Amino acid sequence: MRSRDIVSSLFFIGMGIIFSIGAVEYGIGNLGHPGPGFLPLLAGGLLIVLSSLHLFFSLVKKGKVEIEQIEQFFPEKDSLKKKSLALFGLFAYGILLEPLGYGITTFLFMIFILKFVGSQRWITAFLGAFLVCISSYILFVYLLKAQMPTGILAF
Amino acid sequence: MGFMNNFSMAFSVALDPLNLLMALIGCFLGTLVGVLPGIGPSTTICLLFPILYKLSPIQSIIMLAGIYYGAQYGSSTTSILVKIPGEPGSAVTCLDGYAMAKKGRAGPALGISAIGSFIGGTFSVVILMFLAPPLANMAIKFGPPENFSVMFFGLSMITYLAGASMIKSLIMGAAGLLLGSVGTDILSGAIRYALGFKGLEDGVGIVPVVMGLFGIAEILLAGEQAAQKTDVHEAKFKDLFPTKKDWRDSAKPIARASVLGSFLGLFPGGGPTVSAFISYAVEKKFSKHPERFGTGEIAGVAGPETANNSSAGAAFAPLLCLGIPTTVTMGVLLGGFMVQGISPGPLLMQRQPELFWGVIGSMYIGNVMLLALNLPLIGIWVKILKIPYSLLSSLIFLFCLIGAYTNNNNAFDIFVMIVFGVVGYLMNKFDYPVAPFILAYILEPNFERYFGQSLLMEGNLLIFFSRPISATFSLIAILILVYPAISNLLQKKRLELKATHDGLE
Repeated sequence: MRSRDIVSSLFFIGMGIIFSIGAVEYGIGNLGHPGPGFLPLLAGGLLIVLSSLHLFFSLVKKGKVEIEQIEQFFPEKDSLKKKSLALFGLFAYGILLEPLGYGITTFLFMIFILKFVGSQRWITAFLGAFLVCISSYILFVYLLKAQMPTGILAF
Repeated sequence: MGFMNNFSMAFSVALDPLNLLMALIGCFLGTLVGVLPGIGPSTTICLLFPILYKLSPIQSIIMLAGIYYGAQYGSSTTSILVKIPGEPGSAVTCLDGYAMAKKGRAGPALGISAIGSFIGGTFSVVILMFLAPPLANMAIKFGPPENFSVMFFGLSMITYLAGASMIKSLIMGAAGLLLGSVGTDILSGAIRYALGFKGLEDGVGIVPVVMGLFGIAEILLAGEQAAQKTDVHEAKFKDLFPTKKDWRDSAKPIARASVLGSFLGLFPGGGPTVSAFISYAVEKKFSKHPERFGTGEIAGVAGPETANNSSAGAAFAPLLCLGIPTTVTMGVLLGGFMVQGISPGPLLMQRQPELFWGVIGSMYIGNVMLLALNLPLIGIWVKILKIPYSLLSSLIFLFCLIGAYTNNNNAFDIFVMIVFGVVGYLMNKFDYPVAPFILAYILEPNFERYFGQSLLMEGNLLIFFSRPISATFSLIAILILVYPAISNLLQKKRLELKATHDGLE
């Protein structure tokens, strides 16, 4: 879609510019003695050139540029809501893992995901969360000895 | 080192009980993730990174390798039974495989698939055994310019083959290089683009990036495909044996595909997916009844399934001998090796021959294990397919979260993963190919190191072109990158000329 191409090439031009500025700050050195900014500047410059070309080609194509509606971007019903919820759940896990510990956080997360994103019934969500919590604990912490935070429960 | 010497070393290492166990676990896990759509060998390998610390190098490699080629076995199961490929390498199997299942011939399809995979896989390991020593001997003479040029060639092939739009693939390559430069610069020690985050000082972790791009993004995208009723065709072990006619019809395809896959697998971009597609096209060309393809022609299953396994095995040649990953999953595997402090390349064979040959030996054994896992245990895999996707996706989310956290025992990586989950989702929506991005990102440290070392040697870019091997690879790489643009221009000119010519008449 042309509108998507235009937006994305603008993004990459920006990314290229930011990285290139950083690269210059880190020091480019010279061809005989490249500095830390040498390759990033090359890559950043390449990115700017390529995305500008892409932007140019996207703009000169024949036809109107349609502004896309949100509905077109997220075709399925509820899709945006579910994805946002899922991302929120993941984010919350990241925040709560260390303070609350593995056991509780996993349990809460599974309930949240199963219920709100997976659209299961409460009882399924609870049972599923419980099972997963226990079995994953056995698998990861007990058998594989992964270091998971214990948080408020001294497991 | 004589051939017999290598051969016996290969098996003495591979048959060690603990290594056998690792191979079994790897093959089992590989089949499992191959069967399950939405989680693949890349994500699984990453998930296991924290475990790798507890294992010895050889144990980890055996297990990870098992996951890689095991996934190619398992993925055919879903393709045939549900028309959903467990891995892209089995996408083309959906065509005739599922058609056979609809005709009640799921059993022979699965059977030929497993047997073809076994033959292709074993063939590629044999090739590997013979090819590895001369390849490594050649590579050992490589200096930084050669190493850089081969890597450059690899990246350019992947970029070329990645997607329809060359410009987008190139943009992804450049972006991947930039991402890879975040962190501590190997050559100078300077910390780049870390923005004050301690979690970024060692670079953006490969584990959260892969988990995000492949695990999280995959689930976010899967929600958008129409919720399909999983019409899983039943398949019992006793039904699996193909008829005599099936054997006759599959023999030549399997033979052709073994050679084809082993050849393609040696080149960057020539992974299981490409090999399977090309094999399908080849079989259609060679077939006496090409019109039957798509309706349940067994050659359309035998060929691709053999080719994908064959190329998976062959891919270990460039990885182990040259340190060049030919596909994204091999790139992640490379990441796994680096975690163990192993640097694949010509020196590996010299310094740690038992590691090198042990892996090859375990690949033979792995293929045998997989035959056993995929035929008698087919019932189990079918049951697993019936797990509802909502439960499966929740589990994948959880595994990704755990994997990201245990990477460095740092919640920061969880957030990195989420960011890349969104990035991966957007890449798909905006139609940018992931392969050049992630390979450029994984290879960036080595890419930059060889580039810098080469420049330090000569002081200008000529060094890449003055040495024959380096010049060959560099020139081919540049040619590959500019070819689409040139051919486009030439085509436009031709059309213009034709238009003027037609106008004059």
